[in-house]
Amino acid sequence: MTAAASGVVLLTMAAITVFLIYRAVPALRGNAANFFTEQRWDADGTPPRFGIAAAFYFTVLTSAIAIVLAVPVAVGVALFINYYAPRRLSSGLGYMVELLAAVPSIVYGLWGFTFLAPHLTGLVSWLDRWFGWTIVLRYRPESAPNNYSPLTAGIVLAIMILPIICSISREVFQRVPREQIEAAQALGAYRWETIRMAVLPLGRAGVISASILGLGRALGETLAVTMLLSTAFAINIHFTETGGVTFASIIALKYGEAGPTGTGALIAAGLCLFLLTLAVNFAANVIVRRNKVA
Amino acid sequence: MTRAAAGNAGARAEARAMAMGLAKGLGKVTGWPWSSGSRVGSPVAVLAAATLLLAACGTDENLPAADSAMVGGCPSGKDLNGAGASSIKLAIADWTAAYQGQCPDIGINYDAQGSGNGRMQFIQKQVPFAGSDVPLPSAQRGPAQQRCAPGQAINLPMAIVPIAIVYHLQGVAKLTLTPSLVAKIFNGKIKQWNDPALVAANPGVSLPNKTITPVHRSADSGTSENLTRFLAGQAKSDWPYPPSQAWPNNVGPGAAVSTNMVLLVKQTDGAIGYVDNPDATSNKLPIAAIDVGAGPVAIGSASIGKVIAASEVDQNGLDITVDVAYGLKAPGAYPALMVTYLITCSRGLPADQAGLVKSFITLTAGDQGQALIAKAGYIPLPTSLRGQVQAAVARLDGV
Repeated sequence: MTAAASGVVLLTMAAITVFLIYRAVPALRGNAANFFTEQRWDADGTPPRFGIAAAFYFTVLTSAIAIVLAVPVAVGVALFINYYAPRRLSSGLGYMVELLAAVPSIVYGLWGFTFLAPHLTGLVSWLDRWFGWTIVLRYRPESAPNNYSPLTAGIVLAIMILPIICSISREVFQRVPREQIEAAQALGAYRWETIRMAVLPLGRAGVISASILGLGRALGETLAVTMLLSTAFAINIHFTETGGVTFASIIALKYGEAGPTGTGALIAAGLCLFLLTLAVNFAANVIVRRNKVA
Repeated sequence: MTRAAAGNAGARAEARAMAMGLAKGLGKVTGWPWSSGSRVGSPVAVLAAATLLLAACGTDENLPAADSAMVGGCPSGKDLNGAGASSIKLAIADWTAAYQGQCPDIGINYDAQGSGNGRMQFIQKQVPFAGSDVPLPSAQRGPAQQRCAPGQAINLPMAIVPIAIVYHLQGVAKLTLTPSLVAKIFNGKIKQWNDPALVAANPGVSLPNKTITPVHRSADSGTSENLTRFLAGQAKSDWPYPPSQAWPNNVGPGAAVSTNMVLLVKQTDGAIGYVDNPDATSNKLPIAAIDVGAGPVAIGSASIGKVIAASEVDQNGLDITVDVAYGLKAPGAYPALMVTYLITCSRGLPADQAGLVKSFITLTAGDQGQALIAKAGYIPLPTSLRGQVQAAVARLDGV
């Protein structure tokens, strides 16, 4: 019974991989450009030229921004709910955070598109003024005065992945053995010291796997990112400038009008996203295992 | 075949009787036997009757749609599904309402996922008709013919959709652009609203010192393709890109669908974008006039009609395509437009779908159907083209 169930999962994975490869190969054969370095996407042109360089870059960039912003907040919220908040507040707060997960991604997209982006101008110029020397946060005056940028997409993604990271972290922190906490307290540790000595080290593996789950969602998130990014197939190291495209957003934006080669090319992009997610999960497994041993 | 022949003979008698009834002023639409609940004979007979009735009213060359018989009889009560261009979404909604006014039992579902998606679904036999902002491209001709075998896959021009250059600029209610200015704005050569070239094209208008935000469609779209054809036809030196569904440069933010384009232009002071005219007018966005050489021209049936009159119409069997004169520089012409087609099979659809498609298209191509969509911002097909389309629709296999 259980073996059959896991067999089904494995078969499904294998079937997805085979399907993606089968559909992607003819398009990749006809590609006149290097699939890994080309920054253009003209899959139905003659000859077809398309590549994933820009999509790979922006997918990783937006997800990385999301993780960097979301993990500290999520862990902070989880610790607050578990150890600081009065009971009545903590259950309400936990419920609110989980409610964030129930918001459909199109709503996040619309909110980012119509509210967040127009209101980020102040932050972007502040970042440019004080952190422009980092180059990545520089905002060149000639760029379009909108904030449909990887940064905006990253912020929206961060909010979207916050609930999953937060609730898994909470569960992990709850599993920290009572004796450990009491032992720390018996040594005279303050609450924050207890958390640092007992809770965080034991919860680290769990927090990492929670972050990876969040990262998986951020990598594949389609609707919200599609609404925000402009489909500019050019790698731009300035995070706050309008532009960008991700694996998921190319597929969403190009699928409707794609011809036969175009469809194959999009499936090849889907395959890359699939492999990227697999690689991330694999890396996470390794990290989690290493952390558990330690 | 004898059964069919007998059916036809019966139908002919019926048609004659009905035509006579009409002539006597007795035939009110709702009083006709097939719409009063008890359907007479099979849909075969009903449609044959409708066709014959039309044939009795007009000549073969130029069939006027008999106004009271817009639908040409209600086929059996199954739903009709179509898919494709979002530019005719609003027209389809109007047509559906009119159709259901006569045939309330029939649901019409149009999945506005984009022209390419509609053509794909049509070729894969998921829908019996598709809406498309461009005729079947040569790469899809073969598969489409196969899908329709032994019939022919055909393009029927069904609505003219002007492309509106919309903008948002506080204090500027009137704006004129030449094709070359549009090209320079959309490829980032002109960055400020008070650029001398813009000021020169707009005498008497005070343009602010504000950055231009040119918004493009980030999803591949028929609107982008037709706009870029217009730019390539009118301002080759300022628009170096070949026409394409995918926006060719990285200037400015992108909007996935036309709704987002409208939102983005509405919320950004200094923005300029392009949408189909129905979307522009229903959202009350200011629209720039286009000057192709003889003064500013606004969207209207006269300015659009001029372009269609100068365009070449190719007919091959029942297949009709319009080679739009995007490069036309005649005074009073507005050449930024798309001709939106319904793509279907001349024959070869399953019997139940063929009847539905024919009766629906008879309505959409009819005089009333065309008049109906003008209010929403579409331009009805000009008379000669409309006659050609109506004649082709009348020859569609309705069975």
